[in-house]
Amino acid sequence: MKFCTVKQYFDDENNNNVTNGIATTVIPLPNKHLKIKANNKEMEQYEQELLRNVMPQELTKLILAANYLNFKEALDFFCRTVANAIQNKSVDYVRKFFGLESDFEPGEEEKLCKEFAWSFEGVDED
Amino acid sequence: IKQTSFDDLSNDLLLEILHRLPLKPAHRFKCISKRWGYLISQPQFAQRFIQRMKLLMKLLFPSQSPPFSLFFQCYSPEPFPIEFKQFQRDSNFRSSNFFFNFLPPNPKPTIYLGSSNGLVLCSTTILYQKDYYVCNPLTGSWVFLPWPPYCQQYNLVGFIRAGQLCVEIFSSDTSEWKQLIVHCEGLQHVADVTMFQTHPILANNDIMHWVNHYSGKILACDPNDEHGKCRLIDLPNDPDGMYQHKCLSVCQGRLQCLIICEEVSQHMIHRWEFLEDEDYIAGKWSLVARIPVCRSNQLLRVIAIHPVDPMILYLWKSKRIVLLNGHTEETDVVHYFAEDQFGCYDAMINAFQFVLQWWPTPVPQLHKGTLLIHIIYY
Repeated sequence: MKFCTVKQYFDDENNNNVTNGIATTVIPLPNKHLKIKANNKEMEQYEQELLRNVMPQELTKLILAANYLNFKEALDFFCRTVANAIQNKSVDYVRKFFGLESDFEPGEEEKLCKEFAWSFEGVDED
Repeated sequence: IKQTSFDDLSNDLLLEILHRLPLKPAHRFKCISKRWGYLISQPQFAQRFIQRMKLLMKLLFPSQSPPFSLFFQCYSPEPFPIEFKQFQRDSNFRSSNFFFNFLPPNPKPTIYLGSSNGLVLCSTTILYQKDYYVCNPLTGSWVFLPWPPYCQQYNLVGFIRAGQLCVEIFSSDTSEWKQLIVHCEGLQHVADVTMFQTHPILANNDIMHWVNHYSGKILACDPNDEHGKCRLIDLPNDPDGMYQHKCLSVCQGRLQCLIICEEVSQHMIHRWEFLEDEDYIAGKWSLVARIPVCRSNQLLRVIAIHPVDPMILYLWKSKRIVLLNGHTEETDVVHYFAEDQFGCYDAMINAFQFVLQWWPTPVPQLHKGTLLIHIIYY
């Protein structure tokens, strides 16, 4: 299954969403995954390395690529990596991380932050 | 080549990330943008979150319950502020709101009345209660209930007049109190009706139980019964523990009675429950376990059982709350009371299980279905 989709990708020249750089990261993944499947520590290290070397934009592309290739383990891995990276961070940090803007009205955001004040406890310093 | 931005992720893919967040960030990130707020607020999000937590717990700890706390309140002579002890190291279920500071300021400490589904019912006084609050201590949200039609001196138990019970049920469907006059067989013979413990134990299909130690009876009331059916159940007759304190609690949804008994060679905690539904209806208790406990010259009393593991008990020992693990027979101090929290030796301590939900229950918005009960006996 995995090999079929990869072949299709290489034949599909109109695909702008997946660059060569991604191909070099995603495709070696199945091998790496099989090799270190049993060893959680190594996966953690790989995850840390990935976060250090790959910009958030790239992570987005990785997720899109893994989804397009229907590569479930990679999708799970990348999504978990992103979730782990942002879970203890503040709202501002996460917005900057992903290049997002707030689209709330001036008072709206304040109201929300007040309503969910309990969930802001224990956040890392920016 | 077009630059990819995070916004290019479809809702489905964004959800794949959001679903892997723990409880607090999941709520916090509602503030990131309207799109994130919308996705997380969908009921399906909470449902999938809960399923994932249940599965995770099943894999990691087969007998693990959702996180829970014990709330202790020292009642007499004067009520002290509620103390709590959380048994979950997960920071997602910690909250500074557990001190109930979010309720409107009141010179007297909040009185804890009961909890269900992660919500807590409180009042501001023990006598002449009419201010009731329903709150979620994790999120700090709360709602003030409209005043009940009657306000007597003793609520949840009244003073003896006749064998009749007036049951008032507050339904947030209608935002109204409904009154029922109920006949409860034998209630007029109960020695001191004011001595029913003020907080109910919910067990055996959400039936409420109030224990009266002095007469050895339990008042059971079914709020879902349209006639407000009530009845009296006798506490178990334990020859080894005749004059001992009987603690009523709940484990795995079933009513438990725990008694410290002096057997020949050592102290044992006897655990009684109803084996079958027919036994519950007939009031027929069975002795299901005996857990050894060290002799003590000091005050020793069982105050609660673990909500899921029947071998874990919480004891009040002198000025401490102690966890007794029946599997290993080890004890562990979980809470120390400060010197001034005890008025005298006769201080009454009540401990209540407060089971947190995987996804916080919202407080009732008046006009949406939850049921509360307020019993006046007169």
